[in-house]
Amino acid sequence: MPQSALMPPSKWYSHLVLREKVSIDDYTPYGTRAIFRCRVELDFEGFGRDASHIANANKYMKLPKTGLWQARLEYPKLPGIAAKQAHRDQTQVIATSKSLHTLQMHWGVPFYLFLSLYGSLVLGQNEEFHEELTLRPLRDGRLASRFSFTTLLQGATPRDPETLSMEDDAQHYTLFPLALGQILREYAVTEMHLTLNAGRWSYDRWGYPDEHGVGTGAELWAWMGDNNITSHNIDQRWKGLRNALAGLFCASLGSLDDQRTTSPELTFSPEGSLPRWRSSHQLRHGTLPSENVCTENLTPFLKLLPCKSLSGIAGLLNPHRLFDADWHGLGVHVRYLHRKGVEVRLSFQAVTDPVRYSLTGKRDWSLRSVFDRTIDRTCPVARSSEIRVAVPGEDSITITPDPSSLSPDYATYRVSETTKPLDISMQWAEEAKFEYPHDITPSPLTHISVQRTLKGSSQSQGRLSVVIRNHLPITIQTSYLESMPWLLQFYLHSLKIYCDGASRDDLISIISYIPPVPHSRPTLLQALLTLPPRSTLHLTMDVIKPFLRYTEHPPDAQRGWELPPAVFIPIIPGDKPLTHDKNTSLPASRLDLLQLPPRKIYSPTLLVDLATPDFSMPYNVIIMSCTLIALIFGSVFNLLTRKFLLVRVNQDKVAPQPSS
Amino acid sequence: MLADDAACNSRNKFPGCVYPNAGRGIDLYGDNIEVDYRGYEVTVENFIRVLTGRMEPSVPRSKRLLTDDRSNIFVYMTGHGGNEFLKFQDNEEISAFDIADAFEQMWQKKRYNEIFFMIDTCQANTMYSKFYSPNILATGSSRIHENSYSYENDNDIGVAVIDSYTHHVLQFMEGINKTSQASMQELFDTYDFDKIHSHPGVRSDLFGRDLKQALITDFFGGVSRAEVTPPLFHVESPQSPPQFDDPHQEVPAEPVHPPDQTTPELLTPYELFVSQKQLSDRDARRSLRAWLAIGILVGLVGFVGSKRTR
Amino acid sequence: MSFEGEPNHGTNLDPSTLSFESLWSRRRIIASYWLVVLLAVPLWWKATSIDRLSLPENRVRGLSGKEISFPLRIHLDSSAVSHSVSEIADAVTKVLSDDLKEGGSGLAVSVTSSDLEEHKGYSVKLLQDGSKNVVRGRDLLLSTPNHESEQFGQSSTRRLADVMRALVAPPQALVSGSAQQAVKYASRYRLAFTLLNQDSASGNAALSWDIQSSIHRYLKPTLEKLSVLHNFTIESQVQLHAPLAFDPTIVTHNNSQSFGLTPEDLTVFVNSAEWTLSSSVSNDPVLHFVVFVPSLLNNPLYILDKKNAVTNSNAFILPQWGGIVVLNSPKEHLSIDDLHSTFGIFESQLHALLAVPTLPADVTSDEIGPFTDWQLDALVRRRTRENFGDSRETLESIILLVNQISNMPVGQDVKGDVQDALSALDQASLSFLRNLESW
Repeated sequence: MPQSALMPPSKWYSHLVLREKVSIDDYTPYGTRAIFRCRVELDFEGFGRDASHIANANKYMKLPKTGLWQARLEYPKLPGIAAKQAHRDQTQVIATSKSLHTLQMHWGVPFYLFLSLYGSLVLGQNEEFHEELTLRPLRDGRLASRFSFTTLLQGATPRDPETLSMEDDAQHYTLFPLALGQILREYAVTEMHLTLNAGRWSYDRWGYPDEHGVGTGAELWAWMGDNNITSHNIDQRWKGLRNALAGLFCASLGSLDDQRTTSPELTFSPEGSLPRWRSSHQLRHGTLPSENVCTENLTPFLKLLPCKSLSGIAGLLNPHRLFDADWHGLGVHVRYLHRKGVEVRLSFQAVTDPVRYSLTGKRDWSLRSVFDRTIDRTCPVARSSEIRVAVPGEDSITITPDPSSLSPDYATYRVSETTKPLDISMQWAEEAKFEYPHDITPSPLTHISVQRTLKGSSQSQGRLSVVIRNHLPITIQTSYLESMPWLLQFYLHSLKIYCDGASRDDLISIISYIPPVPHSRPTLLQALLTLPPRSTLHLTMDVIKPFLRYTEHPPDAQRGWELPPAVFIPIIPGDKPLTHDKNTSLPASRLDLLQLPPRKIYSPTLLVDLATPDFSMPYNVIIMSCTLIALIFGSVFNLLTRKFLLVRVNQDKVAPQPSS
Repeated sequence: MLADDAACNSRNKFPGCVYPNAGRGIDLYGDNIEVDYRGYEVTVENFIRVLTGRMEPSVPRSKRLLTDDRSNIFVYMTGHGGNEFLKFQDNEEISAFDIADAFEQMWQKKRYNEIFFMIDTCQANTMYSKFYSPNILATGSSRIHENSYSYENDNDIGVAVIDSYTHHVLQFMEGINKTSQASMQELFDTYDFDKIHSHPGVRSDLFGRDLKQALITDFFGGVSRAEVTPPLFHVESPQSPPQFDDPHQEVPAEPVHPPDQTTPELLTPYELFVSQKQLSDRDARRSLRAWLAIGILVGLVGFVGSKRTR
Repeated sequence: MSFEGEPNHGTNLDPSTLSFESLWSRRRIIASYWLVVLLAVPLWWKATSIDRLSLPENRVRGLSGKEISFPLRIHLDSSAVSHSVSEIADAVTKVLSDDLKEGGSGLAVSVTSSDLEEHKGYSVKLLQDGSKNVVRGRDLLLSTPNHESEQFGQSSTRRLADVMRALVAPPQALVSGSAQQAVKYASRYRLAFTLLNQDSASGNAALSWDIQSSIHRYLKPTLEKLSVLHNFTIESQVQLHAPLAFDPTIVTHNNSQSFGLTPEDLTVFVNSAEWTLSSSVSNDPVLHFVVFVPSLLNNPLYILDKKNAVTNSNAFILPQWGGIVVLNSPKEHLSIDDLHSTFGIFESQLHALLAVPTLPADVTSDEIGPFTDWQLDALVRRRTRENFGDSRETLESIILLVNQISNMPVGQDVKGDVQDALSALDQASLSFLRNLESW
């Protein structure tokens, strides 16, 4: 059968096997797993239709409550070519559902069975699409808007990396973005978060953002199952994921290489659930603070939405206005929710300044004034489509048109019920002209505020200084993460903590520190800080700035290098009520659906000025060294090979000279 | 490939927009632009890799030039250049020889049917003078020792927004729609020194067709041929689906071996990447080096010998 | 001016007695300088030379002009005809090989009449009942008119040869669509099915479809039959907004206003800027199959011919890209039965894109499958020949390129790949010969 050499094994196998029967002799429960003793009977075409070969499988089979149920079988040696092939393949079991029904009854736990060989299709999946816009006037006259588009693929599970070597199921989606779904399946990503932000989120002025990932530039982190297959190991897949997303979102994520990849598992804990597979999950995280965000990033983002920007709330996403905002950022969040499915949430967050657009200097805004667009049509497939406007309590405010429902904090519009075109506007009737508040911190909006600076004018060393202020009257703790490229190297022994002027080294506990490897690995510093009530913590650390290789400098080397933000997670005892306050814009009905992720605080990015060579240096060096060699060589050679002789000067030849 | 983020630079008064003239009639950036290579990714190496198709396997589809011998390619380059070079990112440059060699590799690998190469730099015409592969039509903005000038300043932004030549071509292209029948000759006939302030050049000796027959839309607008499928006359009833329950398709007895397709990508890995600067000198340099070595050797022996005899 | 003087032997001021003034040490000094230079020369040579392994140029050149050949053996059973079987067989063989020599298809057909008990190859059975010519598996039942039964003449031989030739080497006309429609060979294709609504918010939209079961029912047989040649990855999506880049022409059809796509419109129909059809994750070639639902504003939408008259077709094919079907008034959910005709068109478009030949006009198939083994074998032979030729040309162009660009390094992996490719080609051509012997 010469074809087999040219055909992939599974295809070959399916041609060969006529009928297969799996019967389970016995099993032993073992925690959440069970050891099965199976009999697999296969009819091979090549050996006559009645000759059946029995294969025993004593492999461990994992039995999760949901997910892919699979077993690996080893076939006994069969005569001829088929045996070799079958033995090599260890083909995945094709269990008939009948024999597994009995198993199900024995086990008593409902579990789904995904049988794969001929494309076990993702059957019976329901897809839900929700869209939501939250508008929140800020106290400095700006308006925070946050778009959130959620697609839930019900009943789906992330791909187990163990199945990567096998043919994947066909992908059929109605609302779920296919381009993203392909990437998730191809690289077996369980959870993924990508944010592309521009500007610095001012926590003091604007409070906590609705979307927590507000670090400047690009940030990508993903939880992926580990496996031992070298061609599909987690670092290979992380690289593939980076490149695929770079292609999808027109971003330079491909440069998030090993020099920027860390695994800060304490700070970036999974926001969804991780399926229980044989291998554990691992985190990969990388930031690219110098990434620009522009229309080319928004275009593919909009194409992932079922209604694009042509109907529904997404119609407001006008690149010319969004990229004019004081702060803007887009995010792609994928997570797996146990018993629900895979959820993709696309978010766009912007802080616009209506005062800037207003001719009269008022902070009145409307959808048209902010986005230069109105909502003309409903997205026909959105299960819910809501606009929620936060109503500031203290002022006399008029909102037009009338909202669909009104709570003390929020006016809610259900887009499908309103008249079109929908142009929500908010007026401060009594205010003739908006005055920017002089004091930007009258009352803190966040629990802690963070300031991070790099001190020192030298190009070889400096000092990193972090100032953390606790605004609460209680002692709180916060996690502290520095994920620093090797461009800045910490002298950890010089780490000093001062609390309100007094040295308090007991307030920090280092949880993990991974030193950098120049030219290959970044530093990872995770620590836990204790903040006494209403105190200010000063943290300083000496750093050195290494020399870069000539080719490692970017084309605009004199500009300096952007360093990623530090990330803090304040751990507030009894924080529950605070998460439900006005700052979180999730409707109460959906709070139970979504596990709230921990609230992160990103420090601003830093710009480090590394020693930059004169780029004409190589030529100077060549000229210099050639000159030196020529000089030294010439004189030394001359000296060493010169023949010294005594010359006896003849008296009578010399004598006439003075007379002449 | 865009090295600069001009549209969303904070110094751009019109975010998300790039206007080609002070009147701000057309927004070149538009609402749904996609940029495949930007910022530091715009390098000579990446450009040549895109052309020749030698990429790492993980490079996504959108960053590749997935063309074959039926594809027409339009290459437009602009920037600061000079005699036989064009600068990339102000720290490296691509030479006319590099592009010519890359095009030759593309031709050998059947990566194009025809190429239309357009360049707008100072001394642009020198950039296509080294091409030697067939089916390339090239045009440039200015002769050797001649500058290309910018068209006009946008005073609101404070920079020159477009070059004369590009502006001129853009004006012509605005009059073209996807089903237009305008030919390349018509485009080249509109070149006018008084408008462009430089002498644009056209090189068509490698191009196999008459320029009057070559349509603008052969290179622009993504036009493909279409053939109407005849309606189905004999339609089987849906109630009798073909028998597919038996997946064991008979393996044909006829020996059928599609030979392993040996694609160019497989056979020419990255080591083949050429980063030469001077092509014409290469052979000379090679033999020069050999002769130099022999010369040194002979001189050395002679020198030592002469010293000894003294 | 030289100062030739008598060395002062009497005094110790003589500089020639200095240690470094001795002739030996001076020579050694000079020699050591040149030794350094000499030692540096090979280093310099090594550092500046490019690693260029020699490629097996002669083997590649030996391939040029070499075509792969397919020996075919067709068993002729003419028991129904009174004429001598072997005579007919010889006559048909002669006519066929004359015909095929011109085509350059590399086929070497021999028609035999030997009564093999078990024939694995093709068989042609001559019948006399005058019914239609029928293909079944690798068998052909060819009916001969009654009046020829006594005498199997020249015209019958010709006719028999023509039918057989059309089956084993389908001429260009019988390959569905033109040759340009077919995509290049790839071992794996992505089939991307897309339900495109021009504007679903305006009404007249299909929001979901039974795509999985439709593919399973209508396309699975074709895909399975083609699995000898290709693997397929299937994906599908629904798009709710897919604006056209142009305005359709307004035409009057059946006394009502309707819209039409002119032949020029068809060429620019795909709005690649706004439709996200392309698959981003893999580099396999993608074949697109698009169901386009026009919006209420452009409904009904017809395909026009060159004179702007409405044609009765609602589908067109973009060569090497895929097929498009316009569906004017869909239900909100397209069930498997609603998609019946659409997938019928997709199937024919898939055949055209993958260059599946059609049967000759006077031959019908009585198989249930999508196409017969005769067609599949002809396709496999065509692809094999194409790939063989492509590989040969690629190898030749690599040799050419390496010779042309003298600064190009040629590493061990390149050499290994070329050698592997050569041995794969040798193996391919050998295996056909071996198969001939085994018969």
